[in-house]
Amino acid sequence: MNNLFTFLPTELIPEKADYFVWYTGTLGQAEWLISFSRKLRGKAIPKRCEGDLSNIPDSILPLLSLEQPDLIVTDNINNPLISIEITEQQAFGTNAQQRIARFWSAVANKIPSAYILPLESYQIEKVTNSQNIRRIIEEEDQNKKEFLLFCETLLRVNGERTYNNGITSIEELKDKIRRGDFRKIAGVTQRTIRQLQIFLRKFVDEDEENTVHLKNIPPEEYYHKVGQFYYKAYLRKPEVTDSMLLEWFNLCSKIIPTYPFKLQSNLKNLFRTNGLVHIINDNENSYLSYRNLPPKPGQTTVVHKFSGNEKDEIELFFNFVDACIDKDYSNDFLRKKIMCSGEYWEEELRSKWYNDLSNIEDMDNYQSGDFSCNTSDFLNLLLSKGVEMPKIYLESLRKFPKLHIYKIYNTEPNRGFYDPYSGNLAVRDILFTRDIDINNDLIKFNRIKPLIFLVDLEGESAEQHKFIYHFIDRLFAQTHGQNHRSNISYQDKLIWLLKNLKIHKFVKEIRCHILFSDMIVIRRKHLQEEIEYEIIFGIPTLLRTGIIKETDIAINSMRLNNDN
Amino acid sequence: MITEEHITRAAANKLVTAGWEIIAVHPPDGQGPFTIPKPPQSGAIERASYYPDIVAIRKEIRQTKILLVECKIRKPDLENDIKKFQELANNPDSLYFICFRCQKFNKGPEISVDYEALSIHDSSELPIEFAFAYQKNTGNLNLPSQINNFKCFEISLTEGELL
Repeated sequence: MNNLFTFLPTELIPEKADYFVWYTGTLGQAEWLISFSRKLRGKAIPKRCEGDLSNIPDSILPLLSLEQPDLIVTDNINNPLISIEITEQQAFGTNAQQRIARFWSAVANKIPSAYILPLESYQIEKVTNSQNIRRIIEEEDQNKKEFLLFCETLLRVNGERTYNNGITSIEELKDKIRRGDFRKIAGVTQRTIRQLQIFLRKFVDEDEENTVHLKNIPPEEYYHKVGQFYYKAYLRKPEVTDSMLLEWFNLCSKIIPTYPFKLQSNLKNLFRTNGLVHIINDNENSYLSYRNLPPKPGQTTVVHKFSGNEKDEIELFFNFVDACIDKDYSNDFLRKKIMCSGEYWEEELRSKWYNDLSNIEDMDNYQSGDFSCNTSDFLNLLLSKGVEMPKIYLESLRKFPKLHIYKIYNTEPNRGFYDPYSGNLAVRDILFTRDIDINNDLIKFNRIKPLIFLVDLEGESAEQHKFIYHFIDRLFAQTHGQNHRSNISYQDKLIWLLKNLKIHKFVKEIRCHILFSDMIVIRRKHLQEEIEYEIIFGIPTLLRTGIIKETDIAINSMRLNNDN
Repeated sequence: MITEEHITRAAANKLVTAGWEIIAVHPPDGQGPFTIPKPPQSGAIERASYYPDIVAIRKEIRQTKILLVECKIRKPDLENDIKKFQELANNPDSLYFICFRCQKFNKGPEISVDYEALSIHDSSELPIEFAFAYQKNTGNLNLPSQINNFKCFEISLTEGELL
């Protein structure tokens, strides 16, 4: 039963709702959405999704089957209209993409989605090189101290050496950067001066451009001694993993609008909330006060001024929500420009998304990363190590000249592979293995390149990590019963499970991994250099070979209007 | 039905009436912007943080005070929150960090503390207070009026204030 519990005032609770806002995050987020959407205000009620999804109607279950987005708006017979995720944490490093599987299900079912996140943000982080910091903070020459602190806020500039090279004022340094004269700027090369120029233009000079970026941290606020530690407050701008994320949204939007919206920060809130702006007290909608909610429409600066836009990001977000409720996808709300390279990420970052290997052995020079290589090289490498693979799978992979490897490394046996890898694999599924222009039915897994999830386990992990056989075994035992366990291979157990279980019933530790990976290769690197291989072929390969079918329960359960 | 979020919101309202400015609120199950790092545990990667339910600040005649509040529906359920505040009060680095987050700086918030000046004081002298919020008549628990040197008070909320 879904007893209505809400802080919405009576006048906003409809007698008969036209829409439902299903929430897995907080009730506050659902009520925030209802309050500021012209379509939902007074016409929608919030509904909480139970953690085990037991109260979720079948008509939206596929949207929650891999991971759960914060909000799903449906009509009053639970037809989904839009899926929404809100995060205050800026994506960074390997965590940048961890929430992406939440959107994948929506894209696969051609339901629009929106992701509200800080595309740029302020961070406060403990720093370890306290000796260097102390030297800067304790510098007695105020001009030099200011110069050194300014250099710290820039990318890669070694202030002390630059100062010794004869550049001794901030303006002189800025001038050199603008002119591309890197010769006396220590730490900067011909290759990296352009990035510094872009940083200066976007975040320091703040030239009036179409996009208003965050202001760089004032140099005097960069380092702080707090108790016995030093902290730095810095501006985090989109880097490699973020550029992949934005391109992911860009590609998915070719199928159905899948749009990021920027959660805005300001310097005034730098230390209190890392800059993030919230609704603290809303006099007009007092029930939204003190609930840590995103800003209301119009509360923050207009940051995208192209095409004559005068709306802030939250207002544009609500315009998009309302358009989706009307199923009108004609307006891109400036997103195309925001997602493409140029505004938030530079095109040259694309070359850092993966390494193209001419020699497969080079892969082992990296603990983790993305690689593209000849399929035959990779398969021959496995075969040369004595790995046995059924011919049908081998032939299925050999059809592709190249494959993409996503390699991770682990030495902590208790560190599961759920976050961020479920999302990271969903990103790679779209970015590297498909041609969406040719086939936009994601659940068919029509590959142009197979995706290999390569897991290197070392140290205690080599002996103890449970990924992936343990999870298949346990799920099989729970579902199928204990009989026949020993006679069936792990691969066949997985096939049986895929034919008999809905996808959301697979444990999160393996769900996205078997879904997105054509092949999972685990290398347990035991002592004395003995390497044990474990291999599982995932859904894309099993579909391609016809071993499982789209009508099988796990696959079919990912589709809206399925027959399960 | 009264939820913990009712307590948090009513407590925040009451604090605002008493002249406090709310800096941050961490609703149950929600994300929180005002995090206070805990001291690293032996050998562990430092990930743990405190997320007080409410953080508020108030300019008083002699100094500006920072208030951390923990909320529960039932008063007896605050037992772990007492321990949480005791642990916090015993961690100088965490206490300094609270003041650091509320510091005065150029173009910063109007109500703030002079962190530079405070940082030379002993952590026991920092202008921090603690409070516990709960629904009135929900059971008994002895709540401290002081934790170390820091003032501690109760915010008891009637049903009328909660709904």
